[in-house]
Amino acid sequence: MENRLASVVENKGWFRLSRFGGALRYQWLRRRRLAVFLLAVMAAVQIVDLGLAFLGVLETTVTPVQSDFSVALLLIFCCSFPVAKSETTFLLRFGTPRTSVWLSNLLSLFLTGAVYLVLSALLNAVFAVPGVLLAQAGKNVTMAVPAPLGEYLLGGLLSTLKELPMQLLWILEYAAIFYFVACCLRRWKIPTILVLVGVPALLFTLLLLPAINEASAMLESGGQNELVALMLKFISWLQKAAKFVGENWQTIQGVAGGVTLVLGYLVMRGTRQPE
Amino acid sequence: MQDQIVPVFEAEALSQRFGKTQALDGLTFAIAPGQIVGLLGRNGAGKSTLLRIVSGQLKHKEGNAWLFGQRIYNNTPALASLCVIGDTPDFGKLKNIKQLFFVCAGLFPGWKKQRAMELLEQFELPYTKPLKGFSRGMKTAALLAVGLSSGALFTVFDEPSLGLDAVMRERFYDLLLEEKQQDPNRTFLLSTHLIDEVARVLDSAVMIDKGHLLCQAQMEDINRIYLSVSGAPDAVREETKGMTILREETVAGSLVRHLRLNSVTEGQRLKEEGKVQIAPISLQRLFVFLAQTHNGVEPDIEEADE
Repeated sequence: MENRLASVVENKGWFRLSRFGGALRYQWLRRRRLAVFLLAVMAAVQIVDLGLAFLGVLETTVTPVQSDFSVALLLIFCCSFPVAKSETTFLLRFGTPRTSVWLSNLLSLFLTGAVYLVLSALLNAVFAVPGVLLAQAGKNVTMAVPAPLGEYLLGGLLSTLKELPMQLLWILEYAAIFYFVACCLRRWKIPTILVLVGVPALLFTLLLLPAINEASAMLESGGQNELVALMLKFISWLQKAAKFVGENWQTIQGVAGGVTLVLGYLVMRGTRQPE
Repeated sequence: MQDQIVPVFEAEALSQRFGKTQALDGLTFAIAPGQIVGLLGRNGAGKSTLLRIVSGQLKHKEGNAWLFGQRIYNNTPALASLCVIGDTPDFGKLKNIKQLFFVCAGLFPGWKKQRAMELLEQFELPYTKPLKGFSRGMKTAALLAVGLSSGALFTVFDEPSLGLDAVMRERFYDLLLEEKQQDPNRTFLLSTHLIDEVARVLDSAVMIDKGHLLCQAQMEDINRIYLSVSGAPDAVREETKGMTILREETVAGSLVRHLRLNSVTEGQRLKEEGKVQIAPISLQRLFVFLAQTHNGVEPDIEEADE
């Protein structure tokens, strides 16, 4: 029997044995439709916008060519919940190792965001052509940064390309964070919601409410100088906090991404499958 | 050592508890390679829990479980040789069988594409029609086609006939036997409570009830050891002295004793002497008798043997 198992295992790399390929195939089938749908919506919006401008119904502005980073984040946020729940369940039912499921889940979220980033930039570039031409023809279209078409497109694409590596890292970081949250929601629904709502509420209560109460007390006692001093102290504290976060932002992002990457796996690994 | 046969699956004192429910209680058995094995038990016997452990969906708490001699949970090489078809058809968000087969080709290292297409014809399933419009039987059949085409060394079917009509059920069992003949290395585990239905295809049976093992044996041995002995009451009583009686009943003046022989030679003797009639017990009745005996229900015997 060992020999027979060996015949299955040998000459087949981890990719085949781990069912990672199958997991990716499933993710591809799930994601591609959504990406195409979103791009179609984006294209439709651009066409309507330029069409109405051409007909003289409204005025519009051609923005520089860039990728839609915020929409990409929204996309992976929305995708992370079905990925962590129903899609994970489906793959595990067939006996797929959890490592493969976790890896394919994260890769799928990352690629969804990354592909959307690139395609949205290309789509913007495509629609910038009629936009710039309409602007040059004076058809109710203005350019945010006036420039000749070639320069406009090339400049925009180069700038997008320059920003892309950093944006991809952010996409990876947010994919890990959203996936971790989605895994927690699947495993501990109520506690996770309580933490997500409760921690900000607790911070607000502990930090802001005492300051507001103290300020109200001072106003009542007429100590305006003390109030000003207190406000300055508070603003100074906020500045320090903002400065610390600003200076260490990349480190904070890296740590958050790394920690949630590992925690996401651990939470998913220990989650019981529904019967 | 190379010739030593490693069981496909092996459980040793395997226990699993969910809150106050003891789903599995010290289960010990092994499944030999190259067989069609029936995992038989009532609803709630612990079959699904056992299958979830086998498929790596559940990490067991007590005892040991091995797949091909290796630990199961999250073990890539062991799981690569396994295909589990659950009792609830779950296609995720896949649209049609074309997409299902596309995914399965990546999930199973030994996927047989040609065989999968043949099975679609056998089960009369459309390739591109939306799965949403499938009946329960069609959904079950689609997953059975996946299990048979997976090429996995160990393929598990949980309640494989749920939703299938009589024709399709028989077709599935025929296809299962055909698959086994084509690839004798493959082992199939059929988990079901429809015991008599699967009996004709089984090489061996594992019977469990309330998380306990009732019996594990080859079908050949079951048919030789567990017998129904009938005839004139005195002759039956005389001939079955000292045997383990599972159930006794009177049918049209004849006494029928369902029993377990102490050895195969006893059956041979009964046959040769010809004082009583002997017949194998159906698998389903045997399961009922064993479950009752295990649960402390004493066989209703009219007159104690001296």
